[in-house]
Amino acid sequence: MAASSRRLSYCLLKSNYTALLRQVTFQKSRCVRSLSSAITTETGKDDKDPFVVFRSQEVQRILKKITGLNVEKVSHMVSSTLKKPTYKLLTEEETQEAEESARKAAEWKLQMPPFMLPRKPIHDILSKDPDLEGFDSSKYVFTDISFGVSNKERLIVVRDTDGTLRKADWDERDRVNQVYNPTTGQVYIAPKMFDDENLERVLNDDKYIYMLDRACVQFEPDNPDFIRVTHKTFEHINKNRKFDVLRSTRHFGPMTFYLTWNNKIDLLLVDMIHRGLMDDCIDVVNLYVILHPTSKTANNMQDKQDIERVKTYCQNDAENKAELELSIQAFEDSLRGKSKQTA
Amino acid sequence: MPRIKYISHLKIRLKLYGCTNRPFYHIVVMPHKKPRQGKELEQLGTYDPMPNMFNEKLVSVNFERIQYWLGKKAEISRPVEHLLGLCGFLPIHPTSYLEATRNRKKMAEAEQNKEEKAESGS
Repeated sequence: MAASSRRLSYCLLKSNYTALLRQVTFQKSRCVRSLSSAITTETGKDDKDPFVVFRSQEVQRILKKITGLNVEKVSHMVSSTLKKPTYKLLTEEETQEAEESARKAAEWKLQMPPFMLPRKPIHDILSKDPDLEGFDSSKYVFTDISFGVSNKERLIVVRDTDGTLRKADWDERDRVNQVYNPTTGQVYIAPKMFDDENLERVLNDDKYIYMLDRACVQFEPDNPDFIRVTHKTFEHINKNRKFDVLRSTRHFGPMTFYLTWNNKIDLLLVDMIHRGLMDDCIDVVNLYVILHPTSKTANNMQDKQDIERVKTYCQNDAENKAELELSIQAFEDSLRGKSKQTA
Repeated sequence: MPRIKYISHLKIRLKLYGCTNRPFYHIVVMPHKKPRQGKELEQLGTYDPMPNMFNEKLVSVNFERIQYWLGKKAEISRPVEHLLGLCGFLPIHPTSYLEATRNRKKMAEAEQNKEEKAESGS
């Protein structure tokens, strides 16, 4: 029984991933898009594939927990068309039910976009025919539109002007799929805002959620452009310590994962301590131990509890050691002050 | 004994859409005696003969249904045979090779003319 339920929960987790969603805020429209084809599971040989770690149950639990769930913030993220408010008279039970459904809807919206390696480029030449060189002045792109073939599996081939027949590369695939099987919110040519010089300008205006949401709609999660844009945004947030903007959005988990993966969690920890979120802080350190099992922190972590874990990290692997130590001390002092007051 | 070529009454061919100065084709299957714009039995794909901004001509084909209609002894018209040959579904049509050699010849001649002009000019 226990085994079967475990299997069931594993299946649920998997199915959860196959239906990762994309939401975006537009002026007056809302679009939700499922990423059913996002999973290109690398075979588990490469230990350094972050996606395998990212989707593990424990990591997911930690990321979900530290994201938090502020129903008001989540429901405000999507500005739909203006409507008149409706007023209802509800009993106590009905109110609870309504709250529960709102919480569920919010949780559904908080599903995280996966953290993946860039996809491998396609260099697949099917045939070379030098006799055919110059048959036309432009390329031909052939798409199989047979019923029931997904965008990921669709066969798309290109006949180049020099007569070679090859499989279409990722750029061509994305464009052609958008022509024959368009996705709401996605644009044929990626917007200029994702170019490096414009990206910087948008980020300087603190439009982090806008940028990340837009990237989620435009790109697949293993698209190098998606990875470039999101990582730059995370870097910018880390540099300017604007972590709180992303709290209670679906991007907080990937951001934490990115920072932990790249050994940059010091500022995040300091921010969490300042906001009095010591539990989250400990969770982040636990995450660090999971992602870096050979680090000094992981080696010295045996039978340490609560705040001691953060201290161990601070002593062993922190880069901003002084600042982190200071904030831990301040936190402990404030705790002591509180306990004195109550006594 | 006289040899009589089998003539199918089904034809996979192009049906013209689009508007003035902007052709666009559907690949359709229809009885061979119908006019070009007649009612098709089924649409099997599209063909956009005008290159887009990336210099690509887009063709989409429902290969599953094409196989079905070929099983029904449908014949393929030459332009469609040309397309299906280029995509590797059928062997490349001989006229494609002819066109390629002609184009190459033309390009070589044009280049020669250019060089001669440049020489005479200087």
